[in-house]
Amino acid sequence: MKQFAVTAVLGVALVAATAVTAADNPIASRQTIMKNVGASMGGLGKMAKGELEFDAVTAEFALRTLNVASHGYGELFPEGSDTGAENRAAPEIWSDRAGFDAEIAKLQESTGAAVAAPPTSVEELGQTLASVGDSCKTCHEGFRLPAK
Amino acid sequence: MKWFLGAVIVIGLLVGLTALALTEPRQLEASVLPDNRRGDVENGRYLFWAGGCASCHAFPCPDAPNRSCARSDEEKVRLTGGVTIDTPFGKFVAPNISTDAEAGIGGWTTLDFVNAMKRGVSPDHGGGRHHYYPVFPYASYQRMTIADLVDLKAYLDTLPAVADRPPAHELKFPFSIRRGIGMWKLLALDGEDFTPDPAQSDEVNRGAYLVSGPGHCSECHTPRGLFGIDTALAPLDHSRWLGGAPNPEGDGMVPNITPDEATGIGRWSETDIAYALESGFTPEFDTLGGAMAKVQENMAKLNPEDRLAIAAYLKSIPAIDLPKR
Repeated sequence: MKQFAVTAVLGVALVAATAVTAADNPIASRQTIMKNVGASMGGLGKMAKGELEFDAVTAEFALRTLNVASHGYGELFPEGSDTGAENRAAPEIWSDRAGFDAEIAKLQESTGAAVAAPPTSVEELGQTLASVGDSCKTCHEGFRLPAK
Repeated sequence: MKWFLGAVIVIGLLVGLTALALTEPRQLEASVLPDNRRGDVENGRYLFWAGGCASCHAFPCPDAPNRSCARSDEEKVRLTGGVTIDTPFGKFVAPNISTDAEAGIGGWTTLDFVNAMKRGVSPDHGGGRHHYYPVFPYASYQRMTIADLVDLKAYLDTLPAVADRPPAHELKFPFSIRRGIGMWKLLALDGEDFTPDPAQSDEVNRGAYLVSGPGHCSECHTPRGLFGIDTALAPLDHSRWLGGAPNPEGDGMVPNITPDEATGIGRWSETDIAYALESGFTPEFDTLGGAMAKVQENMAKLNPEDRLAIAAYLKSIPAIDLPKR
């Protein structure tokens, strides 16, 4: 219970921080969120590969971070936010807004499902990662530019 | 004055005839095909994924026609064509290569297919042969063995016929003149089969074959340039093999996949590389995105040994330092 409370507080803090900064600097906010996502994915991936010992609580925590990140993420891409700072947002985000929003919904769904039924073993974690990772991949495939 | 004009005309004719002779579509003859080889459909299927055929020839995304939206295997073997790549030369549209006799390549012989893949020339169905544009990566496919191509054709012959007729290319003058490709081929198509390096292991050589042949990785990952000038018109610059290149569709770079630690993937282990091809995850657990996402889906279908072979090869090539632009 305590662990859930900690997660909830951190999750709310993350979202609140985003809301405060979003209006000022959507580019920086969304990049920070993706860095957090990367860190969580790093932990999960290492567990799946056997480089880190599997721990169900830590895995669930990381999946909750991913789920929180996916909510409200779309709002960090208002019109005109493709310029202003170095970023990899592809023009398709705005020319195919419905497609982009669908990708975010997919991420919310896959991470939501993972949080609702968190993995209890490395094997289950592998399946969770395949599903969540697919959401990462399809969005990055169509809506993120190559690195400079 | 008249003799001068005469000389100009004669020289003009000689230059023109030489150009025509040099750019003539050249094909392999039937004698290159092995006797009695029926084609191993299972190997052909494997090469279909290794070669990435579906990534260009399956149906395009309605809102983003520069890539295919086929996701399941059933969708990926419906080779409708239609993916459209917008380049500085104009728009290239991938053709239908299904078994449909009118809209696809249903009437092709195995020799026709081998000539397309190794020489970049069409069959002669009455109007003579013509060159294919090198956006179809035959400069890499030319490295495939005839046996593999026979198998791949046997597999393609089992796929469904679809009647889609995507539009023709929309190219800017003078790139719209197909004959000009003959000039490019003189520089880019050496007609060489893949030659294993005796100094390297079987594993590295297998990886080298997969990368330089069916995988055609260099088509995106190697810069194009000649005489020190980088241009998409030139053939691949083999001195910077797999060292990264500008994105053909716009901004950004296609990554350097040589073992350079600063600008390439030198910090990745062989297992990191093989794992990335299998799962789409980089060692930092970012996902391979953009055009690489579809490539990774294909690589995931290969044997683990082949992914490791590709990794071993990528660790063996010279490290290229990709300068930042």
